[in-house]
Amino acid sequence: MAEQEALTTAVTFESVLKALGLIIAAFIAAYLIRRLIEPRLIKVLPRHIADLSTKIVFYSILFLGLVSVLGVLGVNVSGLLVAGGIAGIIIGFASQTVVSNFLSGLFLYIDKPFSVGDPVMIGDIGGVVDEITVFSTRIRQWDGVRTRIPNDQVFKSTIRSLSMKPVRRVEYRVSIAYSEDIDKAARVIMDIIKREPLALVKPEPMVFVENLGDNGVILNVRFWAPSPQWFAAYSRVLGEIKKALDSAGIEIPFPQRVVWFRNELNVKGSTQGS
Amino acid sequence: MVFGRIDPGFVIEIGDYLIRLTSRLNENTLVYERLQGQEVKASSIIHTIRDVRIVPAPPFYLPVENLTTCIMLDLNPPLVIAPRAVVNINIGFIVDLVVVSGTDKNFTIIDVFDPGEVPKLSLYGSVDEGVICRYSKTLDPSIKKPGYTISTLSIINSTDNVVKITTVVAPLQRMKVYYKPGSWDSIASTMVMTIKGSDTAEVELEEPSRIEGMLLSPASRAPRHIQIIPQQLMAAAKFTMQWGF
Repeated sequence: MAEQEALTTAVTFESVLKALGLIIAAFIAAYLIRRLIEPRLIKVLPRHIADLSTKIVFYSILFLGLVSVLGVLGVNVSGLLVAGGIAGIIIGFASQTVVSNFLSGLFLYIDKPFSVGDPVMIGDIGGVVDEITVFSTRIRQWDGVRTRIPNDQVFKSTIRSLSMKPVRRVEYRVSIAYSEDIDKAARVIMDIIKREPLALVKPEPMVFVENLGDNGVILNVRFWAPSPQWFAAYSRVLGEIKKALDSAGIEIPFPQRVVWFRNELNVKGSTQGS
Repeated sequence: MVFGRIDPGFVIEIGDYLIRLTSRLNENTLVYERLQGQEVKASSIIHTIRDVRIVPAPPFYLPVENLTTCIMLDLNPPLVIAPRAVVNINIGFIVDLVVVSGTDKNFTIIDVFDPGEVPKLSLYGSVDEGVICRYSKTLDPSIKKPGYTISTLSIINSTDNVVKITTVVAPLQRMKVYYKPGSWDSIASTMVMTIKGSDTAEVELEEPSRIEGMLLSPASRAPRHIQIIPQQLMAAAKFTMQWGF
C-alpha cells in the first residue's frame, strides 16, 4: 500500500515530461546509431547478419531508454533489473542453441568454407548450397530434397567442397578373377577411359593393382574430370568398363570361399524321379 | 560439296555420321538430320530459312559447350629452339564441325559434332589452380580432312637458353577460323608464342595469312557462359603459360 502511494506520489507532470523526453531521446539515439552502423556492417557482414545485428543494437538502446523511463517515473528498477537478470539467465539457457547457431553462422561467414551454389558434403549430407542464413544452412540434396542444417552442426561437421577446384578425380575399384590377364584387363579399362570425352588426358588416367583380395585381383581405376561434369563421367564410365570386360571375356568374380573338410563327406545323392 | 552452304537433298558421311538435309513439300521447311547408324543424333526443322551451312569452328563447343576457352596442343614431336631464335612452323589441329542456319550476322547453331574422333579435354597446370583446355595433338598440316585445320605457330625465344617445347596453350576466345567453300580446307589464327622464361610463355593470336578465297566461319564466336573459367580469362586475347611448356 505504501509502495503504491510512493509510486503515485512520484508520478508528477514533470516526471512524465522527463519520461517522454527520455523515450524520444532513446528512440532518436537508437535510430541514429542504427543509421550509422548499418551501412558499415553491410560492408563487412552478409546482409542478413548485418540486419539482425542492427536490430539487436536498436532494440537494446530502446530497452535501456525504457528502463531509464521507469526510473524517472519512480518505479524501483533495481527489482526489475534483478527480475530481468533472472529472466535473462532463463532465456539465455533456453536460447543457448539459437545463440550457438548465430555465432556459428558468424564464424562460417569468416571462415567461408563454401558459398551459395557450391556442391558440398556436410557430414553425410551432400548437395548444392541453396541458402546460408544466420541460424542455418539450406542444402538442396542430390535427390532434390531441401534440407536445413543448423549452423552449429555445419560448423562442427567435416565439410567437403566438391567444386572449388577445376577438376575432380573419379576412382573405382574393379575386381577381376585371379585367372585373368591383369595387363589385358588394364588395357580394356584404359581404352574405355580414352573413349570418354570427359576423362581428362592430363592428369593421366591410371589403372593399377591395388590389392590381392579374397575373391579376386583388385584394380584401382583413376581418372580426372571437370568438376561440374564429375558425376556425368563417374556414372557413365563404370558401366562401360563392365560391358567392355564382359566383351573381352574377363571375369568379374563373385565373393567365394573354398571350404575344406577335414573328414571326407558322406554325400547322399538322388536322381530326378527316383 | 563440303564446307559451305548445303542444299535440300544433300547427304554426306562424315566419320561415323550421316548428315542429310531434306525439304518438305508445300511447307517451305527444311529438315536437317545427323544419324549414327539408325539413331538420329541431332535433328532440326528449319522454317523459311534456306541458308544452311557446314562450317569449322574453334574447338570450344565439344565435348561440353562453355567449359573451356583454351586449347592445349601437344607438339608431336617436341620442338627444340636455340636462344633468341624465331621459328615458324605449320601445324594441324582439331576444330569442331558446326551446322549453322541463317546469315553471317544473324544465325543460329543447329548442330555441333566431331568428325569421328573423341573430343578430349586436358588440364593445364595444377589440380588446384589449373585451366581446363580442349586437347589436341598437332598433326601433319598436309592432311586435309573434316575436323582439322591448319595454323602457323610462331615461336619467339626471348631467353638466352635453349628451350624444348612440348605443349602450347592458346586462347580460343578470339580465334578465327576461315574456310574454303566446297572443300575441307580451313585455316585458323596464327599463334604467336613468346618464351619469357624457363617456365613461362605468352601465346597470342594473330590474323592468319593466306586467306584469299576463304570465308570467316560465323561460328568463330565465343560461347556466352563459361562455367569454371576465371572471369579474367574469358575475353583474354593472350594466354600466359605459367606452368611450363
